[in-house]
Amino acid sequence: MTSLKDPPRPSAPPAREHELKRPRRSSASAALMARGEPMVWLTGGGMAVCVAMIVALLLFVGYQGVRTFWPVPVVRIDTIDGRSVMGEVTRHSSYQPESYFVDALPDAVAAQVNARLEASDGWAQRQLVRTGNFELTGEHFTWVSDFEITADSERLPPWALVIERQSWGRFYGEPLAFVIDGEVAADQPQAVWDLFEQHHPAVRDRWAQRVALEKDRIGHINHQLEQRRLALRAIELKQGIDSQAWKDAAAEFEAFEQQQHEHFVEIREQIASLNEENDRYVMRLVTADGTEKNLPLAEVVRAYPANRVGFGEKLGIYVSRWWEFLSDDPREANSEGGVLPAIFGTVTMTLLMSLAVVPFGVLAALYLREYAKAGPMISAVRIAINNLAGVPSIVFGVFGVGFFAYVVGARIDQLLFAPKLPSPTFGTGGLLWASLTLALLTLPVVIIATEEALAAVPNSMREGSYACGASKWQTIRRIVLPRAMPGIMTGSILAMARGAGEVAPLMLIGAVKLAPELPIDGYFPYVHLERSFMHLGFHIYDLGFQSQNSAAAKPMVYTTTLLLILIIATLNLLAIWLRGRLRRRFVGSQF
Amino acid sequence: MPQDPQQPAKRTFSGRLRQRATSPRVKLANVAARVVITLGGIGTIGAVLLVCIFLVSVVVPLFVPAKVKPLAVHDAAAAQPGDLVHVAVDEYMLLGYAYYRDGTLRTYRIDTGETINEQRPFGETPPTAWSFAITDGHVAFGFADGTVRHGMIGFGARFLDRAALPDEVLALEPGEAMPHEGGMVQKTVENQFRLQALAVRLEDPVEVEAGAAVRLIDIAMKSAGPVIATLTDSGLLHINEISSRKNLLTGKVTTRLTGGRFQLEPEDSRSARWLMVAGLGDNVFVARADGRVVRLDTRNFAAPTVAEIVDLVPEDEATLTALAFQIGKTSLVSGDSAGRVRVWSRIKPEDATTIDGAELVMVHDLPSAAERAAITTLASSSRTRMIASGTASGLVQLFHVTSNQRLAAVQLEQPDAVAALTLTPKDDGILAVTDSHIGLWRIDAPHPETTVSSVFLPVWYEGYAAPEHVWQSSSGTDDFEPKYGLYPLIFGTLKATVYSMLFGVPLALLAAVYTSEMMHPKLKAKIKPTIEMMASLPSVVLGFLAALVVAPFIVDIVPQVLACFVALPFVILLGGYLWQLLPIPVSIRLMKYRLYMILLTLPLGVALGFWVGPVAEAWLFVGDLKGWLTGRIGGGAGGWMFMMIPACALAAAVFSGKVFNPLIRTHTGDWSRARIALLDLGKYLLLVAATIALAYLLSQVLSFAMDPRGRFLDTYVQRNALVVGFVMGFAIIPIIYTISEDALSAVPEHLRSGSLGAGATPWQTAVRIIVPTAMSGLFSALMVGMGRAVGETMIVLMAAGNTPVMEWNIFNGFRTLSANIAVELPEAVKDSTHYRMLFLAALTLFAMTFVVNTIAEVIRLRFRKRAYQL
Repeated sequence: MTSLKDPPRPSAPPAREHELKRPRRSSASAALMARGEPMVWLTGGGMAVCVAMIVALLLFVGYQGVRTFWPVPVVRIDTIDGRSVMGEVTRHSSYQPESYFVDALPDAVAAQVNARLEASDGWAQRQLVRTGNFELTGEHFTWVSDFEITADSERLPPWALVIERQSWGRFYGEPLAFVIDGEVAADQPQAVWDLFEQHHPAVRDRWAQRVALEKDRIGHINHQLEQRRLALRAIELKQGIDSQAWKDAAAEFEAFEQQQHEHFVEIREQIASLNEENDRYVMRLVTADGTEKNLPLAEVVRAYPANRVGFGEKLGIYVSRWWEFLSDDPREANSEGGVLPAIFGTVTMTLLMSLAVVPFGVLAALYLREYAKAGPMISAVRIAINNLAGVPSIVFGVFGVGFFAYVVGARIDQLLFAPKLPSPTFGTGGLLWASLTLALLTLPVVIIATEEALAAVPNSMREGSYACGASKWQTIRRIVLPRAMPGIMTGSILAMARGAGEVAPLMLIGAVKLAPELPIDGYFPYVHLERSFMHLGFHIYDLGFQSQNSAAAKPMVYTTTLLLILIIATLNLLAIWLRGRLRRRFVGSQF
Repeated sequence: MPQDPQQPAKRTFSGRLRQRATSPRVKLANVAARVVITLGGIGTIGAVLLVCIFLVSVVVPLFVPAKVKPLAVHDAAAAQPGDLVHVAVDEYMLLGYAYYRDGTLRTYRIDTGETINEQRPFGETPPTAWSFAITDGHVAFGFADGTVRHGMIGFGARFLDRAALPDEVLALEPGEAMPHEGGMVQKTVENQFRLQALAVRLEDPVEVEAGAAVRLIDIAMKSAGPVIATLTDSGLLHINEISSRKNLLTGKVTTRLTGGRFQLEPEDSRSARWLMVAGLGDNVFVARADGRVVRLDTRNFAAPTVAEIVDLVPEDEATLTALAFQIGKTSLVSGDSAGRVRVWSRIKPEDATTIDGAELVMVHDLPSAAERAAITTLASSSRTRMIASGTASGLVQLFHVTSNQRLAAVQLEQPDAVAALTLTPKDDGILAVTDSHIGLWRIDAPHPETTVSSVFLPVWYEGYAAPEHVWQSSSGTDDFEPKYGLYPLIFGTLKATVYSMLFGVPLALLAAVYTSEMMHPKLKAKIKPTIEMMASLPSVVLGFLAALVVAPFIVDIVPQVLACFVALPFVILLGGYLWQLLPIPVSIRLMKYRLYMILLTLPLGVALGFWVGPVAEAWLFVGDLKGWLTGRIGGGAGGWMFMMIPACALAAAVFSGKVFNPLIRTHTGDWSRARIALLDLGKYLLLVAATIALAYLLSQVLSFAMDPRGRFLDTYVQRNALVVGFVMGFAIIPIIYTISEDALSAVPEHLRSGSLGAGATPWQTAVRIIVPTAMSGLFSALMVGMGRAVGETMIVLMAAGNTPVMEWNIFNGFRTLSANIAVELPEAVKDSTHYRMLFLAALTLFAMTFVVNTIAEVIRLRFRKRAYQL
């Protein structure tokens, strides 16, 4: 061994010689190892895991989202402790029951159960049954373990009805009677069902009329009253509460209020008469444990005898559920009904955001690429903008709430909406501020994409344009921008996709659990930018985490998730398609 | 532009005269476009930069020093009927009262010092002892005949009917005030008239000890009723609970005293100068001027016992000159003759020797001025941990205890001793009274509790055994002190980042190498956009899946999941070794199905993991991983073994590359390919066995040294870093993958061709040529991915449990900066400390990602330059 102090320098050439002299055979072992096949497999494994993760995720969400609305049969199960459970089986799982759970069973059964558990290493099967009837049982779901079920008790009751109601969630029961005006009109299941089908559409029509009356007519009255009240308050602020003008206005207001009150009473009477007519029809049902329940027909949104419907009817129910989901307002703390306001809010917000971000993003990119003199300053700005694309979205949310709502919005309130104070108009989160916040967030995306698109336009084309005598603006407008347009649109669409899927900043600035008023309606000025709004992404968060009954809300989360992913995927595919077009066009335009 | 006819026509390049002028519209449009684009562009860029500036502007007030402004100084000597005992000011700083030793209660205007009212609530028998509470106006007085009275002296406000008011009051401008009906009436900005007056309510005397004059008294308000401690001339310390009961029939109120007494040592009782009852009545402190304080445990009123004796002034030359409670009445503030102000808290160390397990310990030595004038009086804030002190030389200082800083100091013009001092109820003013003057200052200290060190370094909070990093912004109780230590949140952010990077980076890099170097271009054109699309998957979807699907799913199969992390690479590599067994022609023909084969190994790996998981659990973790993690069962070896496997596998790989492979290469010269492939497979299996054996040996050795539980492994919580790391992988993999694949593909084609042409295999080319060339691009991809992980909000908000614990345990949750902002900002009051702290959290996040991204960007630019040079 050579000592460390004496590096083997002199001996190096001989070593080299030796190396050179070594016969270089292409041995099979060297060839095999050079291919590094196992390591290639490892890299491929990384690839495969990534792909598998995405595919699994999309399949999972897709499967859960698609199957949610499909009607399934209703089962009825009797358990050994005398309970009777009726509902839809939602999933199965295996678990290890705690010993006290088994001990609580009757002795003979407990012994049997213990024997079965021992045979299966303590594991048991159970199923989650959606039992509904929340007002009677206090729960929407029940776990039923396999060992609890009395032998052969599991069956499909032919007349089990699944009833989706206006409130309290679903109801599962068998029809006992159909009652009109307090008298039993039918007591055979088939007859009850026929009567139900006969009367339900009319009752629902009246119900819809009632809702329309409440929403439109009474809403109109309230709106007018609020406007007048604000006008009165404005006079108070301007002229003082002691002034003659205020006293006159106050008297006028009172007269108006009186007049509106008469209208109000009139509408109330109409509503009462509709309700009265609807209250005549009641369906009497019996639940699995024998409780009877009178269900007013007006309460029923949709009902079907789950074990009697054929494939065609199932498909009909499935489609009608999807339609309700896409076109209706949510009910029952968002866990049932539709997501129309959320779709509407998402779309409006995204459009407003694009309106703000695209022009300014393009302006900034044009400035950076076409007008600004290249130098360290501009490179620094470019690096900064690149970096901002990576700044967490929540930071923009913090900025939005602190700057837009609390600084700009508060100032706007003082100037324009003083009568409404102290309740804020623009001084809190809302559609406009959310759109502007997201516009700031996506601005770097648009600037970078536009800059790249502008850079991709060959300089020869600009020079050609100048040579023909065009001014700079003419060149930009007629030559550069059209060539860059697909790139700009790709960037804008990607920005929209990012904006549509972003939730964190919206939680701070304007997205709410339930917005009773849409941001666009029939009252002046028609577009209400200050209103808070619902958003699909926030809806997912809210359903999954803020809802009192997240188990019941879970199916809705999947469908909402599916919807959001579809929207974003569509936007992305559009961008990818555009990018492909841009490339083709770009290749074709080079000379 | 029309040509000037005087000038000779210029010859142009083409030899023709330019005849057509540019239309003014074109020129105008050109100028307009320039102006609009320049302004719009600069404005937009400015708007983006405004984000940073605005965040800073909100945060800065947190660290701005307090300002003190004199409001009024007036002569007090004229109306000085005797020794001053206590002063107080109302919340609007209009009215004050002063209580004197002779029992006089004087109400006066703050701004002029003019006396409004003077009363003697005790007639001609002034009390011999008194106590004034910090917050709610509770008072207690003791008398020479051994009786005590308690009650309230405070300010009450009511609104007056404008009809009954004299004209001079009605003529007030909003904000102005004047004396009226023994108080001050002020016209508010809402044009109402608010009368602020002193309210005195005293209960009937109750006898504590017949005939012995009360020397010292203190009162604490428990929810059950007042607790009064008294020290009488006979040297007895009484502690009593006062309960009043109203007879429903007669309406007569009977007051009862229940409690006990304690005979102090004669010297203690004779020279006792302060007697104080803790807020819950569970401790009584008797302090002497030499600093000796006797702490009595009075949890049982009937039998007070001495818990400990502490010297509040350990220095020999100094004496205790002032003693007060902090808000909450648990910590003592001591001032001594050398001008030191110290805060003493009862903490509960594990090795306490006292009977109640608590010890009185000095937790803060406040940075008082070094002029060594004795502290004459102390005043506590009624809402925060602020303390004001006055010295014999007329120096008034304002401290914040928890942040251990002096907020402000004012020197009175006449260097008289400060006789009494009070902080206004809203903490916006200090009133100091000397023998000759009354001074009032307005304090502007909106965020006294935050300093740079209180935000980023451990802070000794009241009731804590040692300085700690704590984030706790709200609580149910009133005298709760918000704790704003950002470190736990930064820690949570880093933990989320580390675990998600540990999971995501290897996968993304391997996938990128495979895509760019091994994959058929047609397949690549399909797969790359798919993975890129995953980048735009909304994180709220990932968060929801993490918390409601992955977390409950994993919780039942933790050992299986952990085993999969080992089994998957094992099976994939095994697949590679088996593939080698194929003859070359077959393997080349099958090459295009390789990726599908690899995909096939995944279910095998998962199956192996699910099979091995329970076996390993039974072997290493006594068959119950979660029970093992809580530390109740089993030894530490199992955990070590699991953690050692990656390291041992790496060692085995290096060993194989450095020792085994050269050996095989030299000794198998004339072997057939099939034989060598078989040998290679055998080597692999041998190495795997060696890895496990080595990990086992190491774990046995290490478990003697220490138990991994409590450090990297601990109790399993359903929403934890494992789940977050896995799901965050979905968010960061696409980014890292895309950027690093771009970097790999950007390596000039001639390098690749050259290497392949020289006879290198694709694998050799990838490892020795492509990856080293693209290294900085790969690194920049990691940085950008890290930036995303740092700022990710929804996933951690939903799946991380959001408890600000600081441990690296992969099975526990955490709270990140971003999730914290999302949870707390909607509830924070604008411009409060909490609000600004959340902005600081946002700024920290901003800074973290900005730094990371700038590094990435600089590296990327360098890489680009280098790639061009090649």
